[in-house]
Amino acid sequence: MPSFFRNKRLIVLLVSIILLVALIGFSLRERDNISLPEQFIKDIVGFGQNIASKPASFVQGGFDSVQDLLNTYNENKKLKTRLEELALLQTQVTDLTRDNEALREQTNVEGDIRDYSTTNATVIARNPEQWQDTIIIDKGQVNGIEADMAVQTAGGMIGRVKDTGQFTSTVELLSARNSVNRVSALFQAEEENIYGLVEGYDTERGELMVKKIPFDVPIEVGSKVITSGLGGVFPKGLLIGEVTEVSSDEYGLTQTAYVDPAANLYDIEHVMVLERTAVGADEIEAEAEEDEE
Amino acid sequence: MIRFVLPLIGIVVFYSESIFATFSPLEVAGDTRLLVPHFLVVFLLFLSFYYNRNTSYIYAFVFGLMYDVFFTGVLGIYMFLFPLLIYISALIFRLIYQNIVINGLVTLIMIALVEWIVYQFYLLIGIADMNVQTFLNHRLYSTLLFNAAFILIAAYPFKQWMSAVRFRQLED
Repeated sequence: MPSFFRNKRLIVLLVSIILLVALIGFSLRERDNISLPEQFIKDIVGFGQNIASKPASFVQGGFDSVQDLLNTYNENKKLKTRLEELALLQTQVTDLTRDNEALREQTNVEGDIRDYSTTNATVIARNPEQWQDTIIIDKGQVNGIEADMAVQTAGGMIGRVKDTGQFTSTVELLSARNSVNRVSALFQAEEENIYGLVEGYDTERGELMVKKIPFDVPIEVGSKVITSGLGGVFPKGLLIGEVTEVSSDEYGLTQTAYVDPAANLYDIEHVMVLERTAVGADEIEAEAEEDEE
Repeated sequence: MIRFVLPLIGIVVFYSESIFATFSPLEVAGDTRLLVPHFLVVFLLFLSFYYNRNTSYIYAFVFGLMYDVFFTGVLGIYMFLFPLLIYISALIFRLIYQNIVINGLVTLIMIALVEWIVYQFYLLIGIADMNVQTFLNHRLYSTLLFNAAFILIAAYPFKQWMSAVRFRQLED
């Protein structure tokens, strides 16, 4: 009997290792969305998570509102000073928008990579193991969410939709380390636009790294970084953050800018999922293929 | 009814992890410290200590699968790691005598082990890029402290509930 048990243990071990390697290989390959069985499990677990997160967010909301009350006086003072500037800014913006629309009509330009439609969602969970920065939101395919949509909070862009289930989706934050997670960024400089790619996150500084910036363009510290919309996936003009330091890379061929993210990447409660309405590269390709047929 | 008690506790523990994860990271003395809740490991190991080891393998497998699919997206790591932890702890208890304090300590060692294995694994497949020093200072020590607090609070209730369920089922 003992030898039989020992044998069984060995077989279980071997089968587990083979399964483990196969499963990891399966889940790490490039794929548009997760498989059906995964979606099924995700939906069941997500249903429970939806219920579990309600009382938790209620309690947290209570704490937050007490804190808000304590801060009200200071905030009020600050806001009053900003209010007058705001009225002026508003008239300017309205004027510019009308001007822009009129010009667009005259020149027959259709479709703008800045346009998007939004879906509001609530964060129901954060990945507890914290190796990968992902959060889970309570909207899924039923609500029209698809993989690779941009996600932002009121502060600015926070990430993209990694995969979707029927009722929940996983959002990968900008701070996640992923070679596929690259956002085309644009520096708002005085004279011309400068482009770079958001590639990676410096954990110790808590800042994003924007790389592949041409070495000969000066970037001012404090300039704003927005999405460029050139990747064909995200809309243009989502605020990513503010430049805090610029340094040249190890070979001196390109520059790297450290960008302080505009949105808080840790304390996230409500998010907006943005669907770009302008056609991207994928749609254009698909249309071209159809035309050929 | 009694047979639903343990799955229910397991599910509550499973969901509580993601809720407690919102406390992390914590700023202590100017440094960010990650607190990683591993309440599920505590639950599963205590299940194997005080309820039934073979049943706890099944629990470990199922909860590990849920964890992988819902949170990490990398299938298989926790699904096989949780049963492995139960197996290793069983090997340890062949050598030493079991009581609630020792059980808590072994659970803590197992949490350190699971952190280390997952860290090495993610280094291998390129998800993590922390160096060992940062891992220890910013992640492991604070995580162990956090989970030690949870073990202190939960060990006695877990023991009582699991033994009670086992006792009731033996009576039937």
